[in-house]
Amino acid sequence: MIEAKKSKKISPNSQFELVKSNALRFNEYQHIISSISHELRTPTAILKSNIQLLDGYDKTIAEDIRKESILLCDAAVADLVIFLDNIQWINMTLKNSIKPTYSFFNLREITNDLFDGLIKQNLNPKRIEVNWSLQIKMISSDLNFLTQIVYHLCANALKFSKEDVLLQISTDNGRLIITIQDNGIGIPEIETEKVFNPFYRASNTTRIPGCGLGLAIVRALTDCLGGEIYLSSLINQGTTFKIILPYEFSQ
Amino acid sequence: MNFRNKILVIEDDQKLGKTIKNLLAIQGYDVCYTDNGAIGIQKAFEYNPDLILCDIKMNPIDGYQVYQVLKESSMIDQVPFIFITGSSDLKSIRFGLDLGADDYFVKPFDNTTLVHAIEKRLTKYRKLKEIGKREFRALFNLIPNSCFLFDGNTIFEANQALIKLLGIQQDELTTYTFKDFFDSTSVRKLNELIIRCENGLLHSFSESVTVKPLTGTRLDGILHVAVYEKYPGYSLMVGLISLNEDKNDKNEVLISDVLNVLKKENIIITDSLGEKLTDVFKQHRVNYEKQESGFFSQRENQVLCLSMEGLPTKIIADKLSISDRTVEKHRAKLMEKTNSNNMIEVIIFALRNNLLKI
Repeated sequence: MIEAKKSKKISPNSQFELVKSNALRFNEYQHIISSISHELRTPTAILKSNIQLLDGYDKTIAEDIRKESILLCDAAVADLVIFLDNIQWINMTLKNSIKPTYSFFNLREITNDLFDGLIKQNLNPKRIEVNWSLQIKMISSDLNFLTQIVYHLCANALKFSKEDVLLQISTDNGRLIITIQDNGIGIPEIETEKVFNPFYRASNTTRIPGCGLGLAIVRALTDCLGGEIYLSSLINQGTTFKIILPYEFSQ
Repeated sequence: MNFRNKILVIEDDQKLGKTIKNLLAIQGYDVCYTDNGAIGIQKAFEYNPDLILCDIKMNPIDGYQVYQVLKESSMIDQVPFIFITGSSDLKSIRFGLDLGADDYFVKPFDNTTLVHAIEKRLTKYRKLKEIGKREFRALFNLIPNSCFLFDGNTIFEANQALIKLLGIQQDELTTYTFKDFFDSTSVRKLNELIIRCENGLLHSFSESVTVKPLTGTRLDGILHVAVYEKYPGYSLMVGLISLNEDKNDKNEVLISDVLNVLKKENIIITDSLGEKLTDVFKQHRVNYEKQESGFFSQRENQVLCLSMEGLPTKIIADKLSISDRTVEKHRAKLMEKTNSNNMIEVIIFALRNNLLKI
């Protein structure tokens, strides 16, 4: 029998007390948990409802509805996977466990999957005007990181702006410059740093779906590649993100 | 003929919207779905639903705003309203119910529970309408004033008082148009008001008219009109004539009572009348070609008129042979000129200030 002295006494809810002792952190935890739960609810509702539909009416349900139900389930699962991937990225950046994988690639490849990805998120990629200004075509960097950075910036710009969005990708003496400009709702000045924190959402976004992971991923990946982010924004006028990244190029 | 209950679903996630649409369609409801709060408000007027299911977190107009706009409008303030939300936060649930919503569903919901809740609300709503219908029928048949059900042209039903006044037989009623019984000045005045009613912009009006019976002398009076039943693009109205010569205090009180009953929303329509209606079903639209430039430019007028039909940007762009982006620019300009936050506010502004020819 183990003596009481030797075993460590676990006070009830010790973790909880610890968290509660720091009110600010507790609020953050609470906020993160409710963000995640909110984000999971819509795809879960789609799955639950369609599974019940398929289960309860399998004999009488019309073939086209049955097919659509299955497609809707698939799409909901795809949303969940994207969300989990984003969480995974955030988790890796918090643990400092992401490392870029460098390869030579054609710069234009970074927008290859962009439009498909945006359509999957119900965003209209036709609203993006892409402007290339490239001195060189082939660079060495992490293609996946760059693709993600561009994707998240575009998704944000489309989400927070009704008007068209301008994406400029240019190279300039060993620096890759990605600029994305929208005429959207803007970011309040005092929040320009905070919006890059995971799960932080600017105070003027409450009506717009999302849970605040995109910019956090952008910042982590940019840091990883040794780049810099510049942000200028005016409320209800628009926001411009400028990402400057070093790269190596092949002669 | 069996009229199915109409449900308007407003949910900004298209996948969930389609899911709910399928679920309700299988249950036998007629479903109208939109992923946008502003269009949802427009659809509520056009489609005249029996119940509204609405998401909360939407942009730019959220579910609370949709609810508030609709409840302020007498056209549909009795229609049951159910919120669907992704937030299980008690505070926001209470907020929604405090506003006056009939029910509140947290995602993910159970299909059966949702359908039961809808059925429960519809039954309650139907009972309210039945009471209205009985009151209406009794009044319609017993009132000494002339009373009739009509669309912009045809009179479908008339009470004995009107038959006597016009000097016609009940069965030859539909061979005349409504305009045959009023003089041309009255018809001109009535035309625009009636089109406004048909488009859901006006719920009732009173206008002085001259009645022109088939035989006998012309009579001056006031025509009171209220929308009786509304279908997408089609309205059935009820008219009541109070002749100047009948004017006395007792009659005035009676007419104001009757008008109150007539203005009650969404009284259920009889089946035979429904069949007649579908035969003459037609679409009334605000014609953008008729608009002149003034406060709004010609293009802005076109974009505005098409927006009133609830058409998406892409379709409007195609119709006017301009780009999506240009349509958005005109919309932005319309909002700027009218100091509005959205197209609904622009439309309300335009209608209030008579900026559109209808």
